[in-house]
Amino acid sequence: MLRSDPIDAPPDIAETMVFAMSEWLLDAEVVQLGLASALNQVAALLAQARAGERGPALEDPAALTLVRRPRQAFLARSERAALAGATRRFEAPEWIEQMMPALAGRVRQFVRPLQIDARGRINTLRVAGRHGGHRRFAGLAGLAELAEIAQPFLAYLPQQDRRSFVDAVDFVVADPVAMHRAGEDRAGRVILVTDLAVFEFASGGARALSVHAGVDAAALRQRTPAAVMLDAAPPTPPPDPALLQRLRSNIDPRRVRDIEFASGAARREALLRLHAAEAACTQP
Amino acid sequence: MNKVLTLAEAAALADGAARVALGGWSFSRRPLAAALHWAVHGTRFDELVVLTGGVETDLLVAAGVPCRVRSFYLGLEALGLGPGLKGACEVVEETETSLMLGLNAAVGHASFLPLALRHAHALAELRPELKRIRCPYTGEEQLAIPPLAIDVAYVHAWRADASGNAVMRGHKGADRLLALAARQVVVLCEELVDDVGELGDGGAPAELTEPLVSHVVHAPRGAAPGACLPCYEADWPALLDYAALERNAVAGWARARLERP
Repeated sequence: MLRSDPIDAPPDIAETMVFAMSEWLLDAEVVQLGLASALNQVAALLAQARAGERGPALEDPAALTLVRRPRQAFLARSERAALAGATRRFEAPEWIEQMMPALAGRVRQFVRPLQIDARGRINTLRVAGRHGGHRRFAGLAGLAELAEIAQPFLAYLPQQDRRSFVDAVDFVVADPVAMHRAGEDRAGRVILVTDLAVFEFASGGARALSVHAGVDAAALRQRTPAAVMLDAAPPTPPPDPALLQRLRSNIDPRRVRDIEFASGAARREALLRLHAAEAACTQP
Repeated sequence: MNKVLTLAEAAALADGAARVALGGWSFSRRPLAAALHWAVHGTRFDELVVLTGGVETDLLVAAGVPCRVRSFYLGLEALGLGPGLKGACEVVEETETSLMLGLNAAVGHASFLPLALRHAHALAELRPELKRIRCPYTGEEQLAIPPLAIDVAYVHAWRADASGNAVMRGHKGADRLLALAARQVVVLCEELVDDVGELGDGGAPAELTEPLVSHVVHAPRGAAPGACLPCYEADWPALLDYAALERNAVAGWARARLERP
């Protein structure tokens, strides 16, 4: 965590993921960052850098602001970062009730689900417990509304396994494919970026769009529901070297992008180190 | 009119209430001073309403203050779940929109406001008591979201005056809507000032104005270990320490923070 790799080191999995994620944010008008979604934040900032003035504005829930000014990634100081250069501070009802419906077709957001299944259905609420009942997690939030206005619906998993990428979710919070019927202007589609591959879900089924460099085919098959086609998926394009350097030195120099890959005691240590690094920073 | 109360006087308004709301959002401007007081003094009320429930909600659940929590997001975000939310907790599930509609219905004295069923399949499954209706104009199937009247809403502001005009920095949350939906509103503030300023002279406009506010409490650092910009940011080391507590250690943690000079 918070390593200081040589600036010309090959891309690691966090970097491969944020580059793959940013590809799906380039033509959005607005990207919603989501609470504490480190990879989504870094991918959105990268998309801004890649697209320049044509790139998306960011809706940052840390202060519920709309921001276009380029900035570095922050997590512990995210509220202050969200205020820097903001054009407006919204009240939550204003954003939820008025702005989001007005952004249909123009907004994107990467969501980290608790579970996603072979039909692209999303669960952010609860999973079955080992001894009956269920364990509750985040909540319903605004996922059903987002599934309608954000197409393709974007999801990511920092660790793809058979607990998070499943045959059928334990509870359906949003079903973005079913919400938009085939033949409509915006037929339902879900894109999933994981540490192994990029997947697409549509009414005709699910398939891998690309597989990351170095991923073992047998391991990918083992961690992917059988209903998802993996045949003939090309390699995920490598990051542009100049952009990769820009990511490391300018966009995310403190490696916010690493946080979602840590768990337990390692995660606590990584969060404390990131907090200290951000506290020592003169920006924002 | 001087509306200033002590923290204990203001916190007591929640005891036995049917529904108490806490303002703020994420780690920003959460009324922790009130929450700590309730956790330490054994306050009980029926329902806690939060849009996003963070450390304030977690510690109240751990201390057994509310019987249930109503929210569309519960958790400490990047910091995971705390000792309260890791355990058993009755939750009235909401979506972002359904919670706004319930509060708006209370503000407008409407018997319900409609939520399109296509946005509420999960909610309808979790909340079978919500009635289904058909729109008389389009025939669309909808859920009728009932009003969500609040007995007492507590919000934490940067500055307030004794009359109840309050200015927030950082996240605005839905504090104005919570205040409009509440019978009583308590503003806790970092700085109690003679005058929050006027529009047009460079002064900050008040997000909450005196007709909406019942009481004011001067509570410096009353949102810590969360943030209250521009005064302080979230104290992640303290929040991580909290998240690592056992549930039965939360009351002691709350007492230590409340009694901190």
